[in-house]
Amino acid sequence: MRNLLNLVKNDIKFQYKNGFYYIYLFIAIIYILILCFIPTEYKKDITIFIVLSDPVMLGFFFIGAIILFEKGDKVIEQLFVTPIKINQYIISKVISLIFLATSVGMIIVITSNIDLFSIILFVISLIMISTFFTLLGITLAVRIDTVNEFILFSIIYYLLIMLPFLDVFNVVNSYLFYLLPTLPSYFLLSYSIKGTFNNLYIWYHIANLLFWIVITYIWVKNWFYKYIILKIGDNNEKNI
Amino acid sequence: MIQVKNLYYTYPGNKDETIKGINFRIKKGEIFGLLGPNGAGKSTTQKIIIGILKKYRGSVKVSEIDIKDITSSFYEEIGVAFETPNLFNKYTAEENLLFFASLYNKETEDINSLLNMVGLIKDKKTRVSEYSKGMKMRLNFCRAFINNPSIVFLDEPTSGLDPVNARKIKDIIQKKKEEGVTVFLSTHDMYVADELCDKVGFIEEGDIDLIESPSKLKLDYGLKKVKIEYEKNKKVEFIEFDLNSLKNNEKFINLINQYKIVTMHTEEATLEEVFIKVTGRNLY
Ligand SMILES: Nc1ncnc2c1ncn2[C@@H]1O[C@H](COP(=O)(O)OP(=O)(O)OP(=O)(O)O)[C@@H](O)[C@H]1O
Ligand SMILES: [Mg+2]
Repeated sequence: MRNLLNLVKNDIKFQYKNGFYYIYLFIAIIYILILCFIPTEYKKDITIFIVLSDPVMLGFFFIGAIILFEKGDKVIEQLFVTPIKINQYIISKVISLIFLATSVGMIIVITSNIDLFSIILFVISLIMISTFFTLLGITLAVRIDTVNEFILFSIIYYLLIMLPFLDVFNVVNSYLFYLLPTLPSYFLLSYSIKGTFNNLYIWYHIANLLFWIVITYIWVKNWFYKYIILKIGDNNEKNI
Repeated sequence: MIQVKNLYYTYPGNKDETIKGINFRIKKGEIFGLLGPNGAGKSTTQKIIIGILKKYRGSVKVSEIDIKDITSSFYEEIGVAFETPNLFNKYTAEENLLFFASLYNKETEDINSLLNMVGLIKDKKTRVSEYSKGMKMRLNFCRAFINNPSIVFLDEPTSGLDPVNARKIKDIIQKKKEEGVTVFLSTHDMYVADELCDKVGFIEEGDIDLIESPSKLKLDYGLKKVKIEYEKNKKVEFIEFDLNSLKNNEKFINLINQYKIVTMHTEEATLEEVFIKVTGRNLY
């Protein structure tokens, strides 16, 4: 527990020292400015998209960049010859980004004067969504070594994540889209902000996200071992 | 302290074995050097002993505990310095050490004394990104001792260091040995190995050909000749004699009686020459 706490503290420090919070502050200000200019009747709908893209963004581009930076410093391998366990490393990353995503999500709704239907559901949704996307981001981050690879693969991941919105916008309709975690994330946020919900659906969406969190967690652990641990101590220089 | 028996290892996805049945023992307080060319399997062996690579065949025991059964508390007792520095570049030296110290449950070493030991105390508030390569190496090295380990694993500890700093590092290793620390050293620098190691193992293509103390190796494989430089008609000339038959060698006796001797050396084999003789191949 103490180890985990120290890891989280260090993750926050690392992100801060490498300038991630400044970038994030900048992005948050842009979101808030956008919301200022949106007429009240659309405000909640736009907020849903903005608050959704927030943990997606963090989970994706931030975790990717953070791990790429850590790979650049080669510190990951040193961590695993200390009493730190892989689980603790992953959980620490997730916690540090949940912390960021949830606080920024709250700041956005508060500064934009949006009255939430359910604060609890809103926070729970943000926590689950950012957990999932951070884990998904790690599966990508452990495999890539260069910024170019990172950009290329994150675009592919991103398109796949966005695909289910074809259903929301009635381009292609299929229940299969509801198996992926994108729409459950979207509807959970939507319910928590706008209300009007059916309990049964909520439970499905929560279960869906939990399912994906477990699956991605196992996936992350596997790839982490294969692509990080097995390569520890290899002295081939990686160019970033 | 470390006991390796019939160790075989194949990387996942590879066809051929990388480690092909090696055996060795390291006693407590001993400095053991694993010597071999690039790709011989030094790092792989080290990674198995520190519990990173699983699914090997054979038995590996550290302090009587089978590596298969280790938990994270194992890492409370060992220190590892990889060949290339693994440091947070945006942190100062002090911040780096404080962070790593925070990962252990046991009491850790005083950070100032670690930095002092490698001559970095006055740079402790400097960001690592502003450090030279040698400074990074030294910081990386001293971190291996942060948890007062009973065994340290050092991969090429002196590479990239100037002679003064290399001396400092070698002295620290020697001092730690005297304090009872067991040292596992991987290197292809024969001079470092010769100077520090109680025993060396020659590894080549995943196989250890020989394990012996450097001094014994040099004796066994030495040329057993003596080279004498002497002054004759105001010029320095040299001559070589077989070391084993000096007593009855008239030429030798006349020489030392007649001329002024300038230098006299036995021609010892270097560890590098021994390596080439034993394995039939070069180190580089
Ligand atoms: N992660 C890996 N996956 C597959 N093969 C690997 C991996 N790491 C190393 N190898 C192979 O195993 C062999 C031994 O490598 P190892 O790194 O142990 O050598 P080394 O003796 O440490 O060399 P060096 O002096 O270059 O550090 C090499 O042929 C290498 O290509
Ligand atoms: Mg190596």
